Amino acid sequence: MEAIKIYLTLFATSIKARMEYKASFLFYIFAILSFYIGQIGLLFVLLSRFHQIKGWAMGEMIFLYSLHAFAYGFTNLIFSQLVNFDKMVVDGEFDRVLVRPLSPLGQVMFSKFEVSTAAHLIIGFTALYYGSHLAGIVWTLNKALLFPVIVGGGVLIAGGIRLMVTAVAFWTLRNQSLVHTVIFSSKEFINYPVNIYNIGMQFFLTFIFPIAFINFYPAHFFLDRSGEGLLHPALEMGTPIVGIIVFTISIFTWKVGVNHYQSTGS
Amino acid sequence: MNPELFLKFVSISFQKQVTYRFDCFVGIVNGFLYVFIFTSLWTALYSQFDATVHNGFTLTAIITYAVLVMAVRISFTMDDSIIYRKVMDGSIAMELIRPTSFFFMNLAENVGHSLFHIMARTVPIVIISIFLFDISIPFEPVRFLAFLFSFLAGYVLISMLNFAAGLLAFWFVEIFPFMLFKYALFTFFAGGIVPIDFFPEFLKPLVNILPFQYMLYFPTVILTGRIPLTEVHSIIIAQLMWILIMGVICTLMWSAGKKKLVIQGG
Amino acid sequence: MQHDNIAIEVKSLRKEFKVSSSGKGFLGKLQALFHRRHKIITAVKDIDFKISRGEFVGYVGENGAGKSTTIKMLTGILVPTSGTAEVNGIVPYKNRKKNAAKIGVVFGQRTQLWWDLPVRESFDLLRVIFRVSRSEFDRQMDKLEQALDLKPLLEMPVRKLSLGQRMRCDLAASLIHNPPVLFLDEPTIGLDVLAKENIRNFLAEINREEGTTIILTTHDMNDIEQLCKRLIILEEGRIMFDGETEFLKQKFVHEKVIEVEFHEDGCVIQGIPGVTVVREQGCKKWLTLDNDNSGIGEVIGTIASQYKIKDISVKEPSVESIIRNIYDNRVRLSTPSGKSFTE
Repeated sequence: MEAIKIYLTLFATSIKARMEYKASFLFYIFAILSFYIGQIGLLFVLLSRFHQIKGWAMGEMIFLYSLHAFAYGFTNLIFSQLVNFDKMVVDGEFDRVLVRPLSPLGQVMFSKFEVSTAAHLIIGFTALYYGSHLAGIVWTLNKALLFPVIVGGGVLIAGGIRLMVTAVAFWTLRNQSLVHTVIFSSKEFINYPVNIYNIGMQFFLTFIFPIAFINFYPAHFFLDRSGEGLLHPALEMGTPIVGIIVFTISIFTWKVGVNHYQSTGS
Repeated sequence: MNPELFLKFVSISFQKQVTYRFDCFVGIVNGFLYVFIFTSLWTALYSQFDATVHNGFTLTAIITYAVLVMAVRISFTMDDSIIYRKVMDGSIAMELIRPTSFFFMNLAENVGHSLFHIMARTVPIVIISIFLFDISIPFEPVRFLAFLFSFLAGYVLISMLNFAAGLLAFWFVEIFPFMLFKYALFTFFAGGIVPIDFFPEFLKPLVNILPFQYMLYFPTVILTGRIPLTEVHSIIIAQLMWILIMGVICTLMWSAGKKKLVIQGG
Repeated sequence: MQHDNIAIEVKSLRKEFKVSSSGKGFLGKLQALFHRRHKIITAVKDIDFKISRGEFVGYVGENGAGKSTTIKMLTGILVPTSGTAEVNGIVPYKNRKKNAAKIGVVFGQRTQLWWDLPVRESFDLLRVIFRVSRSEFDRQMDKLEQALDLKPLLEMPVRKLSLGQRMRCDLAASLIHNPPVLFLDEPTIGLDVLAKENIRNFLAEINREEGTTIILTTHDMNDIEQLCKRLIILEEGRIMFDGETEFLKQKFVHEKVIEVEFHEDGCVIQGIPGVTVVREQGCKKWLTLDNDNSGIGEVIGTIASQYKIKDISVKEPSVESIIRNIYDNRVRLSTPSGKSFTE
């Protein structure tokens, strides 16, 4: 596949470009770590007073966190440039993308390398280790094999959502606030078990904006928990399917967006 | 800096914000999202116990706190990348030949930004929250006046923090990691999510030597009525002291930055 | 394809945009939050032209005349509202990628190079993107390096290049895959005289040596005079002139321009038959003679006898002044407008 080779070269180049600023690399990772440590710290503060959140104690909470961190870490790696995509449209950079004999999405996706992934992976592995330990997870071969599949599904969900909200820039031009809300603020929802929300919000996070599939539902499988909230046993394994559905819709949205751009310009 | 010019800058900065109506709407959703998550979290935590008071907060009191601290935080929204951009594109040099104080011009720009966010986000979010949640604010005109004073002091403090952080651009190519680190410290230590009262004893000394609690926590608890009116003055005095300290830091950094600009051309 | 020598063919090409107008001032902006007005503007109005292989065409017009919109349709960035366009026999907005592989595009204000990387890395990446074989690439690069004097620039990161250096690199980047058609949008904008001259020499050379068809939009009429044999002038989305640059000059060359500087302001020139004042600026006036009947000497004599003159000179119009003249006075040209001379 020649196309894949081209994208890999593009990606390698974006890594090289990022490495031009080596000095800030480590500090950047440190800053991201401090941000997550602060978040986990607050969780610790709350749990030392309240012991658990709707049946989720420290170990389970940390495990939720680990699934979350892995999914967003890989999403950042692959879909990072999408965060600033509206700038590409406004500045006319997207015109440049269109005069090259390559898919616009591939070019946009691989035009930037995001180092925050390293920090997410550190958080992810640490949380996985302590979460498993504290929650006493029994790791079977089944679980070990399914873990990357679930993370992959989570990446498709988070990446798909990111792509969809990015495509909105084709219509609104500037959409930083929307990107910020949908990509970053909404992550806050799944820092906590989804069953703390009212039933309407649980429905929303399951069927409309399905980020509950990134950590809440699959965590039940790994933690051998029984159902709560909206949970049906089938949802535990829903992550990969939901991921494929979300991502398919997002690709479609993106294509409609590109067509819109080509008929209206910026 | 003369007040007329100050107001002019406030107005310009305000108008810049108004241009994007889509952002306005999304901004409300974004702010409310946090209010919703944290009120849900506290409700879930409190529902697990028969006791109705935790660390001095009843459920109503903690919900009130969660809503108001977010309202204050949103009101404090400012663009902390302005100085960075000015240093990067070299337009900071213009500030040297202007007959106005750079700090106050920056403050004016922030005020315009914030006024917009108060109108377009804080007010709607507070109104929606009053209808949706059980909130109680003591109605005492003196208290409200004290809050206003403490709020303004907190605002100046945050402006100074952002100003100092922005000036780091003189010495570092990339300051996003600093901003993230600042955000992490702020989120944890300012009481933006969990009030300081819930912090374990061993963290209290650290909280007390940092300025962050004077930015969000204290203005908010003055308004919610948690602080007796007789103690308010000592808080405001502490805030003013911090303004003095931060003022010295900002002045030193700005003159060092100017020197660097003059000698090395940026 | 029927006509092998046709590089670009455009038939009743039209592009409409819907634009929203936001209010002015504080209240206007606030109002625009709730209500927004839309209107349709037509940027390109049913234009036709053909460009043969190897032509060097200047595509000019004032801002908003529709130049960029046309270029965007020919490069596959925009889809036309109606009409058709073919570049190298490919419909760009239907076969974007196929078209992209056979054209080069330079946007003067935006670089296509990777900002933080050495120039060489960008070239190498473009080689991969445009699927150019290593041997072809080396051959092409040899030529470009020499013609554009790139050697000293190759190891420098793009962000450290001057505007002129960057443009040289950008030109090379757009030619790595040796495209038969090259689109240049304001390639000399912001460059100093020497850098402009270098760029022009290079463009003339590849047009001559490689037979590359070049479409150039520019505001710099020196670019046009020195490079473009053919000129297409747009006004408000319509082609108002399409013909040889030389023809345009010929047409006006006998209409010599007399530049007169009077001693005092406010002289009114009247009563001289066949003389038109085309421009005024303070004490200076520019006059043209409507036809050849009244000789120049006679006119100068008449003026000199009636007014106090500080300075007077007779000039051949530059292309720039001709075009300005066309815009200012809305002179309609009796040329084979809309038809290509190469047909």
